[in-house]
Amino acid sequence: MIRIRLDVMMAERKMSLNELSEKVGITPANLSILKNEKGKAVRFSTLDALCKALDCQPGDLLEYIEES
Amino acid sequence: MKLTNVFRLAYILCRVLFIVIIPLAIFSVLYHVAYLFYPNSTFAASFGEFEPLFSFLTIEFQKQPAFYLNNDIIILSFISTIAVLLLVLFSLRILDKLFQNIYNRSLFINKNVSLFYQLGSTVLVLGSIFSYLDGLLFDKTIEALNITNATVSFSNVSYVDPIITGIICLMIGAALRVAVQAVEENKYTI
Repeated sequence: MIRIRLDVMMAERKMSLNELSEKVGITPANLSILKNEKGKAVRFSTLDALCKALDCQPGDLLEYIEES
Repeated sequence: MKLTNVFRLAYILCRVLFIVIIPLAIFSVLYHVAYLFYPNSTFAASFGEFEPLFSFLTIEFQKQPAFYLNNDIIILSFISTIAVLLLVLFSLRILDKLFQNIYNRSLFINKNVSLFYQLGSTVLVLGSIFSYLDGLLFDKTIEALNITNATVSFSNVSYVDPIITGIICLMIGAALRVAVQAVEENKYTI
């Protein structure tokens, strides 16, 4: 399964959800869905904006974990 | 006028027609029941002479043909009438729901997929039963006609129409299912 490491990246950068929301132009509600891994898909444009705001690579935000 | 208002108008029209058809349906059922179970009663006589119901043609005999009073013909006409009434009532109800869904929400929702499947199955089964029986009745009536300067033959293949229509509705339902899936996927994409 794919895990979203948005919470880790935000914690490392000491960035709040609202702050990130303003930077990437996505509502806090949708960012929260993404952070809590409730979303079903991510747009490239969202990934692009997150990478830019958090100054990271897509691989830092997404992680593959084998399901047991 | 906004396009969405057309759907509002359509579902209101379906609802009104549904209500209008109900008394007609009750009358038709009573009409057949009277001739089938109480042929010599005043109840049956109050409906006048029995005539099977055809969809597209009216044939008025100068004298009621004997085969009209045949029980098999009355049963055939009864089943045909029930089939067409159920077809119309079910179709109107389904279309009412479909147009209401389109007006209130969207075409691309899972409920509409099952509505298309229901519509397809209804038209396929009831439509073909009605068309076939209607053709059969019509064929028998033509045989009773006394035409002197021509021969008339009737090919009872009109039941193919509702079969094709039903299959097309089922195919639209299947295609809509894929489209709904795509829309749902897109809806949850952040």
